[in-house]
Amino acid sequence: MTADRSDVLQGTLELLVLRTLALEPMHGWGLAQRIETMSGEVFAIQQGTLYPALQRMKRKGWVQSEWRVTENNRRARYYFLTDLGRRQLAAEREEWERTVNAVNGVLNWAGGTK
Amino acid sequence: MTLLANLAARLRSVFRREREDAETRDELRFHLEMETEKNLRAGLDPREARRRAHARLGGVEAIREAVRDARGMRPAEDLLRDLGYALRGARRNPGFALAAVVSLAIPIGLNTAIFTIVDSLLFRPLPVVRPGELVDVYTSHPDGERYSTSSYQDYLDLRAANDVFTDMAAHVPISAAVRVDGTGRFVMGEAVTGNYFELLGVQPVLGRMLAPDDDRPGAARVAVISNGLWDRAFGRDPGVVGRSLRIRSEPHLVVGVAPPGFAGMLPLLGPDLWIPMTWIDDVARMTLGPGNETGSGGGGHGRTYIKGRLRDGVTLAGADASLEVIMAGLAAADPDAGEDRRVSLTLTENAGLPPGAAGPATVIGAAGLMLVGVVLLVACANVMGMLLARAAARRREIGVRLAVGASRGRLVRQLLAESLVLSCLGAGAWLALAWSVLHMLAPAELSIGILSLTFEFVLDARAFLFTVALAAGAGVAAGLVPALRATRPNVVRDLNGVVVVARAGGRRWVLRDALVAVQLAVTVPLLVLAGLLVRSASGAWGVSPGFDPDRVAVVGADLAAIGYELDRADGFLRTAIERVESMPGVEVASLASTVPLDTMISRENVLVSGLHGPGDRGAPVDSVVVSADYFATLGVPLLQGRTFTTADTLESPRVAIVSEAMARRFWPAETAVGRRFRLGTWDGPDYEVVGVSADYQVRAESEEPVSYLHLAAAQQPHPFTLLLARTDGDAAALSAAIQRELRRMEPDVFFFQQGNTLREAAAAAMLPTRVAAIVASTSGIVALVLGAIGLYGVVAYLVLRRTREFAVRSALGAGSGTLLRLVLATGARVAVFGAGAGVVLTFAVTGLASRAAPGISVADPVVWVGVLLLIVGVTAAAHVGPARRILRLDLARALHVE
Repeated sequence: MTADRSDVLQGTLELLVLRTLALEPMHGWGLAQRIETMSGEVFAIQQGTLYPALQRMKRKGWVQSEWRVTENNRRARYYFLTDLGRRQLAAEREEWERTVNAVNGVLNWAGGTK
Repeated sequence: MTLLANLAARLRSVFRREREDAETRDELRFHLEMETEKNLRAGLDPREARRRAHARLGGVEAIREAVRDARGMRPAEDLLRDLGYALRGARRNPGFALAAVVSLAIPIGLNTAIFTIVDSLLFRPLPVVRPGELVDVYTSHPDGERYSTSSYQDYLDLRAANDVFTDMAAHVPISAAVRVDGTGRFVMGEAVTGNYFELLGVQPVLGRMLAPDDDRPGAARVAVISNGLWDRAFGRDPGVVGRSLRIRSEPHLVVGVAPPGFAGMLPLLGPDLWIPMTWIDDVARMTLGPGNETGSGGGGHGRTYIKGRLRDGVTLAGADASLEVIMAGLAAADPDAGEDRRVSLTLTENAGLPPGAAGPATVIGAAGLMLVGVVLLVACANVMGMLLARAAARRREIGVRLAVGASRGRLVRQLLAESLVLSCLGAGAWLALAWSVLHMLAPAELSIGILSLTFEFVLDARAFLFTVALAAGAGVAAGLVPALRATRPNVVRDLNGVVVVARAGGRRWVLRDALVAVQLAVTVPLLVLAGLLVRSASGAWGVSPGFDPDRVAVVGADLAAIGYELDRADGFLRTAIERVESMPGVEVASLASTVPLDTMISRENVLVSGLHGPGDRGAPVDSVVVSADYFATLGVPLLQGRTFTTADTLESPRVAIVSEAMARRFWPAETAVGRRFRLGTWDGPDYEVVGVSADYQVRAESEEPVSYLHLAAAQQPHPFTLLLARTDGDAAALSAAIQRELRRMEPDVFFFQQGNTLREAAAAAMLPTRVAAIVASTSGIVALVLGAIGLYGVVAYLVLRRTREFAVRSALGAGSGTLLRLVLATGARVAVFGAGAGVVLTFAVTGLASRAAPGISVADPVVWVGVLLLIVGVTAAAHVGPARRILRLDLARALHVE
């Protein structure tokens, strides 16, 4: 079942986290689940790398965290986007789309010689 | 931001990080719980659910560490965390911590104590303005010594001619009898040129220092006193300026008090008094350093120390070259001064002691530091053994932490932090103790001979830094190997604190055994040295010295110090003896230049025809100058011939009385009485032996009778002299009575002495040996105790590990004798190896030492037997506890252990 899963591309983990947190504040485990679900089970994040990444993003001021109580009455640390994080998401998204378009352009190129 | 606020902010940030770390831990725990529940819902059994959750997340420790890294944790904060962890560890295990702390505190304390003494004597920074510019100027002595003191004329000549110094000043060490309000004391001081204090830049705490005007001929007699003398002689009287003190009966006006830190420019001296150079002939000049015993006579050499302050931009080499030229010019102008005189300069900062005297003092200091350094190493080895044992006890904890991904570097740092905390606690304990003890002791006044040297032992920043550096070094030395071993990747297999070093005699030798053996090995030379010193300090009294130390009163009167000429002194002493002999209880009284066992030994070169010829230097023999009844006073019998009589005068032929050993040495085949010898050189004065005395002990360190030469007081006028009186009563009381009597004869009489009886005087003369003996035996005993603790640890550990084996043997019928033998065999082997190595080490060390200082002998059977008995005793003691445990073994329980 893991054969067709991909490791998250280096550097894209932060983009995925930003995008997922844009939906709603979430705790670390929830983030991991959501990313896997949203990617159609394609991305299996190395859960262990998630927390240092969150810490890095916190230091850059993109996310903040606070302790809240979950639906099941447990204490968990929730992360949410800051304004800076939102702007960063927009910027990274734009960058990503440009990259994807460019790569697609190359892959789908049918003109000229064909 | 102020320093305090800054510190507070840093602390807060450390605590915040501490909390954040705890939050990461909680967060990861939450994550694992959620993942486990998810797996449970998927139908896995609880165990598998948990396992998979852990597998998905990865190593918790590694993640926490990565999070910390991401947070930008700095090494300093890492260290603080580790220290906090270590402190908590020490609290959890107080017994272990206490043992380690005490093990380290004692040697660290010994080291700091010796360091403080050596430092205060040799390396104390100069208490002057811009010390880097000060230069010592030495002139060469005809005997070839380059760094010799100079004459006052040299100073005047060099000062007038040079253009490399802003100014030059001169000082001469002096000793003087000083009387304040009727109490006399003998102090050391300096006669200085008027510009001396100006040149150094020393400011008074009270009044003023000496000025150039004080040093003009005919100026009023003035003196500056040290802070210590102000304290001791004037009780810190704020009105001391304007009071007077008498130096050799001459009143001097006190004009100022020197600052507390100023101990003059010659280490070891600690002058208490400064007078202008112009009055130098009032006091006795002292020699310190080589080649200057000739006095201020011809040839231009004297006892004057010269200092200069370099001008801006002038280097030491430049000044040296310039002064050489000046000196060459002076020599050319005055052919009498000797053709080959040279000038040598050293930076005052670098020199410490005058180059000649620095050697022995440095050697003694270095030897002391090495001695206590060895003890510290033993303690480190000891704590290292304890840490190895503890690492064994903690191998599960460490193994788990390694398994969950903590990096090895982190763990090593953390374990090192633990040993550092232990050594710092040790150092802290010592500092607290030293603080209180030094406050009680300082400043210590140590009598050496007739002079009191004052040391101000201050626990200053240097001693503090030294202690901290020692603690850090000891912590790393003791902790590094255990930490590296404990965190070795191959944790499970060999982490029981046991690392095979070698195989010897069937049992595996492990690092801990080796450490204990090494400890015992270095203990042996320490104990042997201590034993030898103790023996020589007390050995003098171990056998009969050949005289009655308790029945002889001693009074030393320095008549030269109060200006008596020889004739007047002679008359005074003659009267004094008559009066003393008429006192009740006095059997006989006499004069002597020194007492037996004194450290101040005078030596004469003896030349005997048949053994020596023209040009020979002769054989050095210890000598003493005595009056007729000296032998009767001491109770030393005359074996042949006669004692001195009133017929022996300056005009009559010179006569001598020799000890039996001396008679045997020079005239083995014939009777010594009537033989002749010469003193000093072949052309020296001619003496006739008129008597042979029994041997008696004159040297403390030697039990063999030594050659001893007695010369007649009437033929060797001697300015200051000891008065001895034999009594059948209390000699100490008699000494006090004699002093009262002499004071009636001369109110200004100045007494110098180390004790009131012969026993006290000899004991005082033994002080340096006693101090050395105390240092060495403290070191030796501390090392032995540490070694014993280490040995006990090894035995206890091994016996514990073999408990099951012992139980089986016991069950199979082994008697308690067999069991005891087995227990003893465990540690005894280590002890035998250690002691054996120690014996070899001792001979190696003394081999080296005897090459450096011939005459040292370690062949003292009493000492050796004592040391070996001590080690056997300690070895046995280390086995008592474990042996009792084995003999009381509960078989049923023991067999279920493990």
